[in-house]
Amino acid sequence: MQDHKSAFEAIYGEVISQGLCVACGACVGYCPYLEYKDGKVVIIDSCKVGTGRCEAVCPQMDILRNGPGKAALEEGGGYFLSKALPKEFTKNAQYGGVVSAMVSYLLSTGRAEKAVLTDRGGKGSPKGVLVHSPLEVISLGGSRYTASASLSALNRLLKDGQPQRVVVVGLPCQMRAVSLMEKRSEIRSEQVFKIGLFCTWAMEYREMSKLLEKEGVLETPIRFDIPPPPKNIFLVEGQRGKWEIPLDRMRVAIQKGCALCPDMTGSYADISVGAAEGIEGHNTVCVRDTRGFELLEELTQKGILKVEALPEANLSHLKTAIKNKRERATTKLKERVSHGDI
Amino acid sequence: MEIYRRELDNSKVLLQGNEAIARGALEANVVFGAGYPGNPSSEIIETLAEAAKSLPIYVEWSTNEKVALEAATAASFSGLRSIVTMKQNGLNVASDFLTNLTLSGTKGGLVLVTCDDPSGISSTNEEDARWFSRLADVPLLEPSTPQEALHMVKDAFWLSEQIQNVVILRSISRLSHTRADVKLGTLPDFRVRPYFDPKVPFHTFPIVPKHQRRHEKLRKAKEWAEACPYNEYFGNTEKDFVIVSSGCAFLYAYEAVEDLGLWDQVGILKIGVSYPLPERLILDTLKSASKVLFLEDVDPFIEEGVMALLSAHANGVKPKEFFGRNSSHIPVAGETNPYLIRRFLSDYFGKDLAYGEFRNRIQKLLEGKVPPREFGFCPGCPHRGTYYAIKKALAWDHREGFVSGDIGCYTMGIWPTGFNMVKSVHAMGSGVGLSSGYGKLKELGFGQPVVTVCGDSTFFHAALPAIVNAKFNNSDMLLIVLDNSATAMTGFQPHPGTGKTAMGSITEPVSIEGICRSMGMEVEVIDPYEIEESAQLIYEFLQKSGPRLIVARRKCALVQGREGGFPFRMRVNEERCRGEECGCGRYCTRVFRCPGLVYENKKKKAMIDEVICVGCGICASICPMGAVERGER
Repeated sequence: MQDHKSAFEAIYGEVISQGLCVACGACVGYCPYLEYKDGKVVIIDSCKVGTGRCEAVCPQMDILRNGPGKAALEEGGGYFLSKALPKEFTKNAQYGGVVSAMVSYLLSTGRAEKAVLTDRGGKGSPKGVLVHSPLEVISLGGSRYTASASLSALNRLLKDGQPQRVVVVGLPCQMRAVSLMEKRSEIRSEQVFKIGLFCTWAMEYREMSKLLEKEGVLETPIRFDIPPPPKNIFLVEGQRGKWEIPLDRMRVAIQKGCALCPDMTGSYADISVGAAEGIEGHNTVCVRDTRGFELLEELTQKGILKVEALPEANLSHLKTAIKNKRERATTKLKERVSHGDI
Repeated sequence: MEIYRRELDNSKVLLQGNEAIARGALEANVVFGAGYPGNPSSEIIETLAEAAKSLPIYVEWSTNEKVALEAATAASFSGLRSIVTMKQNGLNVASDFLTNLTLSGTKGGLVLVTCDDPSGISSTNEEDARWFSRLADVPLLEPSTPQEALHMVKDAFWLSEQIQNVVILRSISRLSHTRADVKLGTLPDFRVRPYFDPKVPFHTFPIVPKHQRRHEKLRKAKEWAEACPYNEYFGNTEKDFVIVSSGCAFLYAYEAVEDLGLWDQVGILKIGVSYPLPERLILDTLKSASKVLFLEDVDPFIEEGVMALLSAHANGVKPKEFFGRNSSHIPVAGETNPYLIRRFLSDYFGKDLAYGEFRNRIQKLLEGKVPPREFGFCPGCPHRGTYYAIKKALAWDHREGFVSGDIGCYTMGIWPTGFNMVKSVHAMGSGVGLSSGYGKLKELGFGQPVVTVCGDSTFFHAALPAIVNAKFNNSDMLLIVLDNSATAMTGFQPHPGTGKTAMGSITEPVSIEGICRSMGMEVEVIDPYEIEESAQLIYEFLQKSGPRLIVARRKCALVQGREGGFPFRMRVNEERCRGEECGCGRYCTRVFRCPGLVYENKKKKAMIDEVICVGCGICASICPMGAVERGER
């Protein structure tokens, strides 16, 4: 059946119209048909082109067609506890400033010419930006808790066809999408350094905004956080105040497509970064390949990062969380297959 | 044609039907003309307005047809002759005043010209405005040729003064826009003395006696109709098969009977006064006929009048077979045309069609050689930019929003040229009224946003009450006024926002934003050529509530073309345009569809048709590869 569908019909029919799009942005910014606006990937017109990259780089389509894919950590990888030592990296950072430190370092040493990051939004949702100055990297620290189609910024680079060394910071779905681009030879693996962000789910921007407004947040927040259990709250910080919103009230804003995602730690990344439960000002870092190890080592030697072993309790919690997410997604995927949804 | 020149008196000149009507009015000493533009009527006021530059008469484009009739009536009440013109839809607008005015009656001759558009070639309907003569109990004249139109207009003024009431003259597109030799009469000196006699008021009270009086006037008109030369029988004395017809259909019938050689079997009764019907002439002609064929545009108006007349006199007339729209021998919808008539007569009398199945033959000849033509905005048209911005904004918004449309060039938003954005179109201003309603459905659970579009001229014509309604009831309405600074579709007539009157004098423009701001509406202005910025503002406005206005302002591209043109010479950068390889699916020609862009099949790349492209530059922002470039002119 799928053979008769155009790429667009496939991505529209199986992902977007089913509400399964997670707004990673892999299909955005390349052609005139798909655009990202405030949390949603939208269709400007219907495309009649038979085969297309939109279908091939869609991480949700990949999951639907090829299953959960890569496990969280293949042999040889490792988990660490880390934090950035220079103060400028922790100023805006969500936790330990490790991501800001790594991206800044890659840019300032010329190992990457551009970084694909997510801006802070303002008038509308956050969205993808291309950054080349380390200073700008620091200003963009912190988690957004929404998908922002930031890969559209990478697409802008690819479309111009100039070979670039680029570092991409993104959610697990985005890491999967970049690896699909690599598979299609749109970009060589050695050209792109992938930094994954741990993710349980992301919220849809418009739904989240509506909820925040209802909760009395009438400004663009500066910082969000979900402190470790059992607190079960969504923390919002703005210029004019702090709000503690019961997490369950926010859950309706979670993207439906996130339920299909088996990946908590960005298995397709070179290196992934997340919170370190109960250890303030630190990150959990998951390293998956030589490039990741080398970078971590180098940053430690330069005194930019402090790296230590991840405490056993944290590791065990993390592994359970990873396993749970994968199991939930696998079940969901099976349900869809048995319902004939795909 | 400068029909107002006295040197033309008594000469024969080539005139358009509408010019003949205008000349007839001038010869009848008309000193006041008013109307609202609408195809096929517009040239009458345009011609008179041109004449007003050298003759002592006053002519105006009014804000709508009702106001036009009211303004012209002021002249009539003051003893002057006045003419008011409109298209069929316009008479709907004017009808509220008309049905009251005809109770009070008039003083100076007042002729209302309605130009109907059978088949709705440039209308939203194919309404037959003749029914208004019955509704308002006033005489209705239907000329067949420009020459007859000129004479009829003059007689209509005479009749109006005889019965002290409005007379309607009805033309159709074919007559209004045909050209023929017309023998002119002489222009008067236009010397008048306007005076409203306070002792003679005009109102509708007491109603029943005034209604009674209206019918007496009609009876008087009928006496005139019986004797007037506009109703005439042509053909044999047996009168067995008689065609009853009016207007252009009479000419088609005459020609068909002539060409098919049917004069020995068929007679034609031409009706020039369609209401009240010349009953004695009709009964006389038809009493012994066994077959009657009715040919007229659009509805069976005369058909039903004659059938009612015959049934009232059933005792004295022979039983008959009737052919017409009621019997489905003539299609119930669509313009009457020569082919329909020929086909009916040739079938009925077993004759060959004189020219064969000419329509089918032409169609066969053209098959495959002529590409299908669709309605489209001109190159450089600002509406294309506005609709594209709306398309984007609604896609971004993602709540299945749609556009409520109105009357003007932008009605074409229902077609691919406007990206099929417009989902409803009816009468002038109705899109706005509809939207004032949609805007209240939110409270009943309606979740879709609606963008309502209306033109600058439509804004003044009939949208204003709907806008006030939206404000009054705090309706959640987003109005986009497509301000192209002209009544473009009907030929660039000025309107209250343009700062110019029909006669060319300068007047202070009425500000659309000013009106809406004074009502407390939030107002922004966008440039339709800046698509992304426009889309963003429309998107932001979609998220707001209450009545709000965006003015999308850019001169009509045709006007801009005359006033200095456009800044760019567009080109396609062939290195950047990747053709079929691109994956854009020929976005510029398939989706954006400006006629200035073509897909070159040999090169397999997009290119600019330099003959068509005006150089507005909008398309530069459409190409995903930035291959369409703005060069210097």
